[in-house]
Amino acid sequence: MSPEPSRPPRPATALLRLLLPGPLAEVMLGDLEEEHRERHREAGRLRADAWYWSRIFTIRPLRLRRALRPVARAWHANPWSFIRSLKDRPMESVIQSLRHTVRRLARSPVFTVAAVLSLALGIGGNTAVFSLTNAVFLRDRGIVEPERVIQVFRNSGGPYWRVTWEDYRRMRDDLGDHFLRLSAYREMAFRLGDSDDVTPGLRVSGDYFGVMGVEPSLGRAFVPGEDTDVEHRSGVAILSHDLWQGAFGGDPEIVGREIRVNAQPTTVVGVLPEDFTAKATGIAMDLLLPDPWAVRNPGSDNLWMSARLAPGVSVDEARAGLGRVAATYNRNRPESLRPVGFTVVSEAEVSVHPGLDQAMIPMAALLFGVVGLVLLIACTNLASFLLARAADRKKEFAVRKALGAGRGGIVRQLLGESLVLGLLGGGVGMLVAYGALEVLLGIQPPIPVDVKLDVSPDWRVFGFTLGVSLLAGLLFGLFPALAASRAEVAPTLRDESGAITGGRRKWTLRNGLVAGQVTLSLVLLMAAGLFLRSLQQAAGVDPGFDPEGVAIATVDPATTGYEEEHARRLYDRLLERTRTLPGVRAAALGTRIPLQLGNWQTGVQRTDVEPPPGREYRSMQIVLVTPGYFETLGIELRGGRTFAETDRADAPPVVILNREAVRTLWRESADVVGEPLELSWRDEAGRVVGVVEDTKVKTLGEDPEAMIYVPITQRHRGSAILMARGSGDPKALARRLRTTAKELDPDLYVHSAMSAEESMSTALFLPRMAGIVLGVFGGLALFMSAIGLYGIVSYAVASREREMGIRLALGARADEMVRLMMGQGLRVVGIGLVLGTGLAVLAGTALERFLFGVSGTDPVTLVTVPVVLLAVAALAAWAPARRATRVDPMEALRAE
Amino acid sequence: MGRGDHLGELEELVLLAVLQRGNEAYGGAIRRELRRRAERAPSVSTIYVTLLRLEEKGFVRSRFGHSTGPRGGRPKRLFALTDQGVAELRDARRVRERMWEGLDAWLAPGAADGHEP
Repeated sequence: MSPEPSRPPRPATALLRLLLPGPLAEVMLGDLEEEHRERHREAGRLRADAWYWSRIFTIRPLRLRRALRPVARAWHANPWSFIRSLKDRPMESVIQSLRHTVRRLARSPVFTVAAVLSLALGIGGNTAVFSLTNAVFLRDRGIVEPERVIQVFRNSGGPYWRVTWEDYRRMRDDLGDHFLRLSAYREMAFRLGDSDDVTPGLRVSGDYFGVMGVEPSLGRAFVPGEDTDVEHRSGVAILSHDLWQGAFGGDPEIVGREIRVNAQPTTVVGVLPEDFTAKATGIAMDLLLPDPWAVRNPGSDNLWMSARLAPGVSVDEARAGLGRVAATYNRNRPESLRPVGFTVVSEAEVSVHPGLDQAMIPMAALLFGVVGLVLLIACTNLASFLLARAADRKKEFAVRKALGAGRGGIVRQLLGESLVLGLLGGGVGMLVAYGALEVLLGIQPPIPVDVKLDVSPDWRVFGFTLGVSLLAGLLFGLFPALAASRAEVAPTLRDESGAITGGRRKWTLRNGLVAGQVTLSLVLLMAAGLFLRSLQQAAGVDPGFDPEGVAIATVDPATTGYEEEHARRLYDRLLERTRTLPGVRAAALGTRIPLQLGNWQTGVQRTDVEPPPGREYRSMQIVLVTPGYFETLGIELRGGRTFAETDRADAPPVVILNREAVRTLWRESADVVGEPLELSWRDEAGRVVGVVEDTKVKTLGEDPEAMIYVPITQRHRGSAILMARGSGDPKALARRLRTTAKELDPDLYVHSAMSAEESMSTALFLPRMAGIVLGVFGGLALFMSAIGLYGIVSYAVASREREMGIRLALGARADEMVRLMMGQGLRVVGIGLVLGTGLAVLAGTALERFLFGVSGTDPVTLVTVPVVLLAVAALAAWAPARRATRVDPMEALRAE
Repeated sequence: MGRGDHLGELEELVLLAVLQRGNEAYGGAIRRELRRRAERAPSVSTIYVTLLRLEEKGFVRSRFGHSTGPRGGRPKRLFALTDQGVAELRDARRVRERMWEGLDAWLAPGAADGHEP
């Protein structure tokens, strides 16, 4: 059976599940999913998804009907007693004032819609960011008693390195089941059936299910021995609930079925429970297979490890136990080698990886900062509108006070209004958030595996949104409500607005709010500007290679089921064919090209010096390449030679270093060609045959990184990038690379066929996304501030109409009047600009770690952005100020 | 759609659709049947509201069925007519046929022009 990708959008399903009546929810979701599939087939994904989302609105009647049924029954039984029962309820006053509020909001629909929408944008942004954070950091992945589970790391490269199978074996033998249950596992990309998509999965050793404390919901767990069954490689697999539902349509007969994984026949023996997610490095895994290869390669540190503490064993005791294992291990090792140690981290404290988590927290904080600012601006705008409205309703409140209404009552009423607005905004904001997330998660980050983040709303997200909505309602409602309730009875009713001149207006709360808005939007726009400048600077950096005209395609014989020998023959034939393609000037294979994500490090050391204490090997990035690699990519040779066809598997081991590697090993630009090097993966020392120029490895902003190049014949990897330099369009060439590979073997898994320049753009993914997100939010903020400014200037004009009339009658010039009115608005903007620039400098300094090629106080940004903002502000003030000149003096004075 | 004992039009159509689908009568199938035969496209929730009402009146009964492929593993709720439901349909048909008696000529093509038959 081929995997079936068409499933309705998950956020919509989650919302529907909440809306549908409990007992029927699953049944109706099933029917809706069927219809979604039908529509998908007939009208395409977009229409089907749109239809599915719209079900949220059509589904409502059923829910309401159910909820109202008891009420309807009571009414039918005896209408009079029903009405009387309502009257006695304490809820009544709340319901009544709610009804008043709704009616009042409905009376000014433009205000209400504008308010709800701007709140929805602000709250929606917060909900979206929170959902992401929730999915990455907070969501429970279904481990039973997670506080009893620890993750164990080896302190090889850093404190949180992967462990080896040998480590695992020692821990298992020494600490056993009475102390710890252990499982080692590594993430891999699997190919399911004939699909060209990658399914993320785990190869597991040991008691994975015992450690996680779960049982498969169907079938069985792995049995002991399946993980070390090297001979028979028991082809068994356990599926995640999602994969079972998605690719296999929830087939109830799935256990025992034979599927193909990496082209190998594999029997499904179980399905994981729905509420458990198998994870490694934060990525949800869909497939679990035993790992019979780990035992054959016991020394390579490529395994993650989790362990469950036996009853009565504490984390500290486990740590001490692991310390003893390490001590025994170190006793049998040469003294010159660095002692091994293990780091223990409680499962609850790890989200993705202890090292990465620390880097992700500032990112999350940055995102929250941005969406928080946008919400704050939306709130200030509303507060400012409400202040204006409160001023208009001064008389109403004064009358009510005169009739005996307390100040508290008025505050409560106004606050109720803003809370209702906040909640409406929150409701629409949820939709905005999930629309935005759908778009955002559609943007594939630059990694080959589909990162599945479960962002469907759970109680945390709902709680958060509710909290934010109420807080927003309070925030923008409280000041105006307090201001309005302060209305003095006598002067207001006497209508003191009869005075002819407004005189010098004092600094009002509203002006303060607009100044605040300008400040905040300036900060956002400055940040967006800094990221855009980063992108601009990036264009001018030398990546150390020449991507022009180069096409690449990744071939993956390992996941197609090739053995090493078979794969090597494929590589040879592939290269042979590619070199004869018309227009191809050079071609090669290599395990990576510059400016890609991904990390494969290896250990290297000089043979002639003692390693520095505390370090066994120098770790550096390793790249396996064929002859022609440096020529194809245009990486400059600085000494010695490049690889040749004579560097075969049985020839003496040779390596090429980049200049940074020479600097790290010899601490100077020595002539190192011919020097021997100890290689962690070989017994025999290798010889340096050449030195090449440094290239950028992952990002343009990074410092040079040490790299070692090794002939692909002398060390194997299951997949490689086929690359060719041609004279024509590299995208067309990439397609031809793909066809060439597919011609050799139609089953061969080929992916990521693109030009080298396209591939490089992934290196700019972060600044580009940041620039876009901040730009959108900054623009939004500017727009809202402009509306706020427009509001205060037109209000000022309206309230000084009589004064204007008199001035005009006395011969004031029109342009003077416009300047007078604008001046008032722009003074407010000026204060905002000054404050904002100060804050932006602070923010820029904080952002510096994310920037590249520009400082946080980039003068270009610091000048351009305020000027643009000032221009927009001037326009927003000018439009209403012009009205002052159109006042008819006679009309204005007659109103006296 | 009256509240009393009479069948509303949609109720009648839904009952007929349940009969048409035999032992595969669940929400999605009923919706397809209505679309195909009656050219009606009520929403899934409307169909369930109707079905639940029919169940309350005792005209249909339901049970949970197994899932099949395209439903994402979700169960079905299968509906079937009760004897009372069948009787009700029969009644409805009899009433209609009685109402139609002798009216065929009125509804022949051209009859709307007002000529006496």
